[in-house]
Amino acid sequence: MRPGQSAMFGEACLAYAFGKEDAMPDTPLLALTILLTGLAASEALAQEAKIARVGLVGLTEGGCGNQAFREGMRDLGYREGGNLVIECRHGGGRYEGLQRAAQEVASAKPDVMVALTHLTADAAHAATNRIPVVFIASSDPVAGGFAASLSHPGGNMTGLTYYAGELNAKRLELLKAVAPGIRRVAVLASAVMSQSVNDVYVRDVTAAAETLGLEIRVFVTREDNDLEPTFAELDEWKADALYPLPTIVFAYNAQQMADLAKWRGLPTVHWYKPFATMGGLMAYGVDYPALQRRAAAYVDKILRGADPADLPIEQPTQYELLVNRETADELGLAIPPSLALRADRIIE
Amino acid sequence: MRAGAWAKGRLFRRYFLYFALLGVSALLVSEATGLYFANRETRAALSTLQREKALGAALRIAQFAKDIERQIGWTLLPQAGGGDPIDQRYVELLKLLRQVPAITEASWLDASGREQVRVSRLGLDRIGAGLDRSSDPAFRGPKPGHTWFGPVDFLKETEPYMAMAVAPERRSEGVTLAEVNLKFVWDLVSRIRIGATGYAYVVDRSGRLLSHPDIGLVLKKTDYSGLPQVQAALAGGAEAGGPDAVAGSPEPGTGRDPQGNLVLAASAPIPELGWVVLVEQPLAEAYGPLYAAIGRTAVLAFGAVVLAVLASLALARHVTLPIRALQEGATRIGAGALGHRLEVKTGDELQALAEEFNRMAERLAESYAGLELKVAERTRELERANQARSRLLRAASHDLRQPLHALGLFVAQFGARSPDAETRHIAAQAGAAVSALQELLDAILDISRLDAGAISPKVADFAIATLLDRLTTAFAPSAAEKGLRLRVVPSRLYVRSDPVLLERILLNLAANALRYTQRGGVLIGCRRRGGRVGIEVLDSGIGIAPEQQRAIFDEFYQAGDGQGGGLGLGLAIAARLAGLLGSRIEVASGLGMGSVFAVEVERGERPAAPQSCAPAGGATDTLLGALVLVVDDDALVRDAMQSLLAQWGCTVAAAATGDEAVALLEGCDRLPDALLCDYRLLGAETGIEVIRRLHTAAGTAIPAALVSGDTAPESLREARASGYPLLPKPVAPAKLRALFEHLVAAARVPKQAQSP
Repeated sequence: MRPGQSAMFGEACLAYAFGKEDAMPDTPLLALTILLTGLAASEALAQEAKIARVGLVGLTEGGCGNQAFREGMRDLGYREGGNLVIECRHGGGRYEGLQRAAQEVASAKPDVMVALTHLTADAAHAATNRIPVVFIASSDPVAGGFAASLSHPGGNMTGLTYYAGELNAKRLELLKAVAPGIRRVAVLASAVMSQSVNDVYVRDVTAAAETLGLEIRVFVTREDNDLEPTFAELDEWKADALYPLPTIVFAYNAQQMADLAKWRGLPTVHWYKPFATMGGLMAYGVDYPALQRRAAAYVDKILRGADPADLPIEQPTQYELLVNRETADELGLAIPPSLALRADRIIE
Repeated sequence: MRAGAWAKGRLFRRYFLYFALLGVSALLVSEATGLYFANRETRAALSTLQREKALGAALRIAQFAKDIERQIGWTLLPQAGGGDPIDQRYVELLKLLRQVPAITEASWLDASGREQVRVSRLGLDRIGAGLDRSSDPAFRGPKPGHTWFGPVDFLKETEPYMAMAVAPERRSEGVTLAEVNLKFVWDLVSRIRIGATGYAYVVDRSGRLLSHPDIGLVLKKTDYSGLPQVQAALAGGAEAGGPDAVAGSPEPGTGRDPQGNLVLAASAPIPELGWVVLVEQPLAEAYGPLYAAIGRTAVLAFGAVVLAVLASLALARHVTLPIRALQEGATRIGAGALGHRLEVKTGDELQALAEEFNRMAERLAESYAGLELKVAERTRELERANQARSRLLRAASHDLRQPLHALGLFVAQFGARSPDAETRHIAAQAGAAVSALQELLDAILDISRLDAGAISPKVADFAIATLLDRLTTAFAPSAAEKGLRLRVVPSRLYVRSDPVLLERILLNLAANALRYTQRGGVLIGCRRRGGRVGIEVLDSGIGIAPEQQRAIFDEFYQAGDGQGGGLGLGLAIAARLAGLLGSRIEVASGLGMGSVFAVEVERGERPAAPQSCAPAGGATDTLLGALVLVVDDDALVRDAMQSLLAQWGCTVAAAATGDEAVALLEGCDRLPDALLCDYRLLGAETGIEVIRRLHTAAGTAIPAALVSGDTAPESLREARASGYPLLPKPVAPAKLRALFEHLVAAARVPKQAQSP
């Protein structure tokens, strides 16, 4: 109550008390009501919904349509069309296109950029060093220049990586387990990959092959992703087995690869799990959708104000081995018990 | 209402304060205690809940470890059948990898500590390598039948790993080693929720974060050992020691999170692993409901306080209004408004009290009425009695005076006619005796009249000088005779009083002064006393002792030994007269030191019309040959007058009635020089009327005087108002003579002045 009002009130009380019947006005009751409602009234100001703007870079149209990431964002409370806007540009499957796409996305100045493959992360890295970027790297992010270290990236890029140098060796080991007689392994690389990434892979695979006593040669697939010419080259070299490097490109032509490999009788170990279900012999990889969902968590943290430099890069915990028994039969290979024990899934 | 004014409102204020204080304090106390206890209970409940969660989490994590432990243990079971034991182990380990996703790598060391089998998810498998790992803590660590838990390491910077080694009962079976990826614990920990923002995390012995809902913190190898709750948890665990998780979990308390916010933290140790689970909830959220409750309570309490105050107001008013009505009513009735009735309708003792008041007022009114009636009656009786007494007095005075008057005249005559000195002396004595009698009679009648209240003062403004002159005239001879000095200080002051009564007072005082003074003299003077005038009579007489200064005013009291003469009534009369005038006689005296008597009167104003001067006394022979017409219905008096006046050389014509007097006048060959009429004549005639008739008959205003034995105040007034000098009976011959001389002299002067 203001002082004036309270004085009035006091007077009214006294007047009332001293018997002037009409002296008890409504003012005190009114004041009470106002006071109570004022005190009890909530002060919640509806926070203006801030719209989060995410810039997604994809290699192809399919990359833009990634659902796992969107699922992850939904789980964290973001609604596209509500408090979330995802702007996506893709490179049309080509290297230059990808660079352009990344530039476009960066110039729109989104809150966070997302690159769900190493290639796109590379392009994003080139496009900006200010806008936070969440990546999923299939190669070593430190070697790739995305981060200073896994535990403390120190830059504008953070995210997940499923690269393990020794995985190459592991895959080759698995390949050798199922096909003990192989000597020559054709390593597939893509023209879309950047040279630095390529180098890292090749280095690791070479080391692994040495350990296992295998001979390797790197074959670069064309940008249009047509594998036929590459397979022709393979034939010439008389490859015994096939080892595609972990690049997103090979996820897009996995089916073709599976078919060609089966037709040409080449045991193949892929990093892309669906490869085995498509008819490929083996796949040993991680749950990529899970990683993509996990990327959403990074985006969420950055949107809440975390500094990407302080967010450590995660690595996956689970690797799955899929073996296609049918393909093995067709290739005339027997699945040894140890492999069978190892396999998380045997596709009949 | 004056008397109660100071107390107005106090009862209300007191009651209001009492009620309000009572209500408010009761409210506040109850709210406060309720709040306090609710607070404590809520906090206790929260703490318990948190502790339970911590214990639960600890249990689950321990379970996780135990599970892995068990699985690892199975790999050490004795192998059945033949076949390469190493191969068998290899298969076992592969199975282990399949069954326990958390294990990234598993190795089997033989009894001598050589690694014979290694399987890995990431790295290459090794079989039969025979690496000597006997000095590995993992090999040496586990006691037979027990598990060894290694420290937590961060492989590749960001992967928390823990080595576990299990040794079977039989040492010959070797040891199985496993690298466990602790991110699997993360899954468990991140699912623990308290409220909306509460969470759990795990630290190792040194306070390093092992698992946290925000995996990033773990990967950053954050050190939480600086947080107070972590320190407490580690200390508590260390103190309690042992495998008992419950005993090792200290009471939940407040801590701080890395951002510095206050949190409510509970912890539980996982003794097997040497880890501690902490469950935290931001204090703001944890105590949120508490604060909300406090806020609610405060608002409600405030509202209730306001209500209590209002209710107290109403209650106090309810209580005090009837009381105030009673008070006001009582005051009114007490002030005399006996018709006032109290209106109190509270249906309780107060109403009964009000009704009693009303009844009391009624009875008072009745008895007043009764009293008034009685008083009226008594007054009437008294009046009647008074009137009867007055009549008696008047009659008595008149009847007594006449003979006494005549006697005085006769004695004077006798004295004048006595042949020898001796006879004259006797006559003189007789005359003195007659005078004394007259005086006494006067005095007694005066006192009676005074007591009967028959005298009422007629206040007028007049010059005190008139009185003072008369005093001088009256007492100068006696003073001279006694050899005393009489000094009357002249004064031009005017006073407002009754001149007749005042003169009587002063006469008495002066007479007393002279009587009781042997040497020195008497001084009479006026003194201004503010708005009043004090007339003082000072004497250098014998004085009055202080203890007698009251008694002197009693009747028949005579100071000294009665030698002074007088009757002792003078002061008694003077005192009563002074009382009538609204004053009193003041006395200041000491034995042998003289006395001062004074009477105080109001100052007056000089009236417009000047008063006639008192005729100066003086013995001249102007009476010789004057014709005086005397009118009196009493033959004796006429005779006496005739003799007396003749003695003085006057010719006297006497008439009994007005008619006679007129006839005489017309029959006379000359106009009388003076007229002397008795005021009371036979019939309804008054002397005044007679004088007027005579004047009319004579055609001129012959100097006239009235003589009256009637001392009724109205008569006196009338007589005075007539303008003719009035002599009261019994008349002192000396006065009579002086008067006549005056009249005659006055007659002569105007005659001379009026002659055309």
